[in-house]
Amino acid sequence: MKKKVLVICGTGVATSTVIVQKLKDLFQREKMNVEIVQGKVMEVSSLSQGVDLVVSTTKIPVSLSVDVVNAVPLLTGVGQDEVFSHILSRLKV
Amino acid sequence: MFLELMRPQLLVPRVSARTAEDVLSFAADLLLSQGLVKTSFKRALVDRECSFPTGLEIDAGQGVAIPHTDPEHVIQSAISVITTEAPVSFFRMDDPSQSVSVRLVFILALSEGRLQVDLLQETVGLIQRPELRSSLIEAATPEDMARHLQGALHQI
Repeated sequence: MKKKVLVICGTGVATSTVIVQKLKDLFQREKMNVEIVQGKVMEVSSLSQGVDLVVSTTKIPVSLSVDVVNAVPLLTGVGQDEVFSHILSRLKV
Repeated sequence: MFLELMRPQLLVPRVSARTAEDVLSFAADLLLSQGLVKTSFKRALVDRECSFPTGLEIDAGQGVAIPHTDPEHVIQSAISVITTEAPVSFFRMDDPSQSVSVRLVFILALSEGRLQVDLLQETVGLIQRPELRSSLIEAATPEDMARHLQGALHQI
């Protein structure tokens, strides 16, 4: 089944879009067919239904049944490769 | 995109600010005086920073901030880069209960559209350069800041 990643930021438009672009590039490099959806943190509970992984630039204030990855290293560049490997390992089962 | 939107009037070194709100307020006034944002921009920027802070930790306890708000408060897209005389505390984007010490702030005033993403992407590319961050913080004039930013943008 096609994997699905949810990218979250405060408002679902600004920093999450930067992350979406970085993940698109990553999945293209890795030749992986992954669906990426985007949203705001307020809606994370409903949006995270059926996704394989949540990648967020902001703290998720609720507990989810799916893993959450902190996306801030993809903005600062510090620890970016580790975050990429972590995301890939979560999706390559 | 960053280069097109960069104006020397919006590059301000060594602002004397004590709090994050001082920085946001200073930047909002500057953008307003240039006719780039609506009067509602300042309140919106400050409110947004309170709900969804934009401090990004880069080195232990230190980092940059990238405040931004909704396009409805923006007349014309612009970016302002401000350094502060002394470190100012911003809350962290990934954990608002933690703060990060900031001397370099990129204030993004973004109108709708593709522009927003391009500009943010370029900004993220810039903040990832340690040598640019330190030269901007050391810069004494808008011209110095512009020169460092131009140099870095040509390498991206």
